[in-house]
Amino acid sequence: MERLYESQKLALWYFWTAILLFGAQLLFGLLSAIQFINPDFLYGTLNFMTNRMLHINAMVVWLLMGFIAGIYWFLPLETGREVVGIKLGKLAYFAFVGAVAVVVLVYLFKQFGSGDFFTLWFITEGREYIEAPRWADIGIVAVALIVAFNVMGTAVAARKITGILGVLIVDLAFLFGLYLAGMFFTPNISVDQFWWWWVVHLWVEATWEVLVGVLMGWLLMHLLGTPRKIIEAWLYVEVMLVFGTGILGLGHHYYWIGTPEYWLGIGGFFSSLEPLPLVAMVIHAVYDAGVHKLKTVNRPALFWAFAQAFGNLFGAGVWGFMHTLPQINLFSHGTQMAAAHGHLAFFGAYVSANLALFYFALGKTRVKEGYILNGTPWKIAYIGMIIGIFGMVAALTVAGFTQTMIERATLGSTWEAFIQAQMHPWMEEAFKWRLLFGVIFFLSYVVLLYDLLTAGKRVEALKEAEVVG
Amino acid sequence: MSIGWLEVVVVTLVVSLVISLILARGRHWLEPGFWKVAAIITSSVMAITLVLLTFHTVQAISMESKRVPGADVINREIGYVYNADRRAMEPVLGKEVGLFGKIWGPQEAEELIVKGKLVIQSRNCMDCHTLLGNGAYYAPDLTKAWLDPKWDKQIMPMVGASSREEAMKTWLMNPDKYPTWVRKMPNLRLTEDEAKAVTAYLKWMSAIDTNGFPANFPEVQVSQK
Amino acid sequence: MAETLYKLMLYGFLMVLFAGTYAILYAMGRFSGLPILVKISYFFAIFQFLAGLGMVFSPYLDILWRAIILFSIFAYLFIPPVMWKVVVEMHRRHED
Repeated sequence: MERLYESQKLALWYFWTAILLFGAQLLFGLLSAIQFINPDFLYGTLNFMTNRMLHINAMVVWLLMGFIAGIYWFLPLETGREVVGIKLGKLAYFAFVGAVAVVVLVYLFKQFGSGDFFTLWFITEGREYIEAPRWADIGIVAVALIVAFNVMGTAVAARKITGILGVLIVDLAFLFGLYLAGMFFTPNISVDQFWWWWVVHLWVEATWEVLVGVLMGWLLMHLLGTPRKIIEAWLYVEVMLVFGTGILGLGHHYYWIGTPEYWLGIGGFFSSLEPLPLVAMVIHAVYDAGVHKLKTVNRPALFWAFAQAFGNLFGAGVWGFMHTLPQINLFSHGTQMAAAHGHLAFFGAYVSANLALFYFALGKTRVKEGYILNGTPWKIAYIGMIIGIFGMVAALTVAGFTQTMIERATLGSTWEAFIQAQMHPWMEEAFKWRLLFGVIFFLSYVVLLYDLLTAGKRVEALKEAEVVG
Repeated sequence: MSIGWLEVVVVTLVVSLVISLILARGRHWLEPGFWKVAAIITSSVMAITLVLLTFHTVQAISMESKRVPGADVINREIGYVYNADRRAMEPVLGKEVGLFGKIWGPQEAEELIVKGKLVIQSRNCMDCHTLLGNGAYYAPDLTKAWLDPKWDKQIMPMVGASSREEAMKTWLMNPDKYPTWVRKMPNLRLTEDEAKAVTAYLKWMSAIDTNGFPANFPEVQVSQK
Repeated sequence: MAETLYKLMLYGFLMVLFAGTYAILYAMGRFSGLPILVKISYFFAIFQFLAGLGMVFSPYLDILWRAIILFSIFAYLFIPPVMWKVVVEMHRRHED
């Protein structure tokens, strides 16, 4: 096993924290799912709004931590030297974790505050995904600046910026910069949501996509020996397609928030074309799978990498397209259809990527040269989580169809229409199935955690002919 | 200034393609360098277009614009009717009727709206409800909550209020006391001032032109004087 | 209205689903040299096209949107074979 760079040790701290927060995300998800079925459960003590907020905030934080871990893992390998300012990076880690802990405790025990700026600064900002109070926002920006400094400082000190590193640096500048777009208060909700989407959409449908492209590119280079030129060409193609369709695809969030009608056309056009590049990219994924005959020294990393390629196409492409046209979205906006799409898209595009990266790093630290990381538990977790997520998403899709057709298209989108649709048998059944598959997903996570903790105990000896590249 | 969406789409695509091909000439299309040019050009064209459109949009949605009303709209009657030319429902404003028994001056109305938004954020409404369709899906969308028939039909008699805004204010302060079905809104300890502010905010929000969202809503006509 | 919407959503879903399936099976078939997989993939290409036609012929969409969908369903027919050639060429060029 190779000696680790300091930044790779930091990567492992971030990975473990991320995995634990993933577990927290799932626990709060389960509580929320139970409340859909039994609304009296924890009513008044831990309301849905708090569970849901913790569910989505845990998700955003753990995925970000996983990406940061991936950056710290590959950066020294890419530049051939230790990361510049790594002590500062480690400090930032502790600050980050400390801030998250405080924010979570306040969410849990204070939950909300009075209608003033103090609440927004210290308790919650109450805007979906970016509920974190303003003080924590500033903390996140500080951590982000340190990560950015680590990356750029190292590139400068190594006197080389590879193509991949160049894409990363530019992407990180936008990714971290965009967060600032959410850090202000306005009474005008249309303006509020206009800028809010600059953070949310241009994160998950633009800068995060490119960041994952960089990390997966590094993964494929190191795991499969894919030539750098192919990774680079592919990464540039991906940037062109993702930014080419995603930047103006932002318009698909501007149909109904008070903004002018030209967004219906611009947003609808670009987002209806978004699946085309995803279908194209899947061809490359299958090619890579075939070329290496699925043989590698790290089976779980490879399989999670493939889950990423296909999951992106299905979650974002298929489910996204289904309700992206404004003519349809007028009726499905703000229904469980969005939840169905979101769950599969996040799992496919980002959860899979993070798990692939984590397994890769663990393989490097726990498995000796000449052995393959394998075993049974990761397979159980893999299959279980895929079944779990598809089950949840299928249930939510049924719920989404029901809500769209009944609450919106038939009953007139009123308060009463909402209630009637929620009480419809299809809806009630859907929430039960969603909980069932959520439990399956959670149990698979437990198996995953066990496998990660004990990775390295189940290895196979490598036969010479087995590894390609 | 009217912007045609099709023109924007066609121009951005054509410009990206043409400039990329010009700047990448001489590079083989299977080389990373070719796609590096295409990536930089395409991203830049799209980003610049977004910035330009943003200037126009932010102006178009500022308060007291055609699409987003000023705070003093809370004094007017608000309706929602289908416009056959637009093939969408749109808000309509009626005569001055006041709110909570008074006509609010521009400064007071502005303060009330600011307070309303602060309360909405401080109580995390977006993690159960959707506003303009964005948020969580546990509770109803609030875009047209002010115009919802349930207030007059069910809530006013239930809480014994004499006007819709009084019903809303009372209900919001004690939602756990007045459940409408099995899923209850928790008591978020709203003060009376906060409840009034939220009510005013919901009224203001219902007058935003959302290009017809939510669709199919029961029409509300208004009288002019 | 509900029925129109339901059909549009379903066709849209199936269109991209079948396009993705076509791409995956096509690439698998070309890779492993199994012509039967490629032939099966062509069935999904046709299903994709038909699902898209379902959207194109919906009375609820304007002519421009129908044109966009029409363009997409033709594009999906060609993307897998074209991308396959691109991927093979790229690897051949950069793997010596």
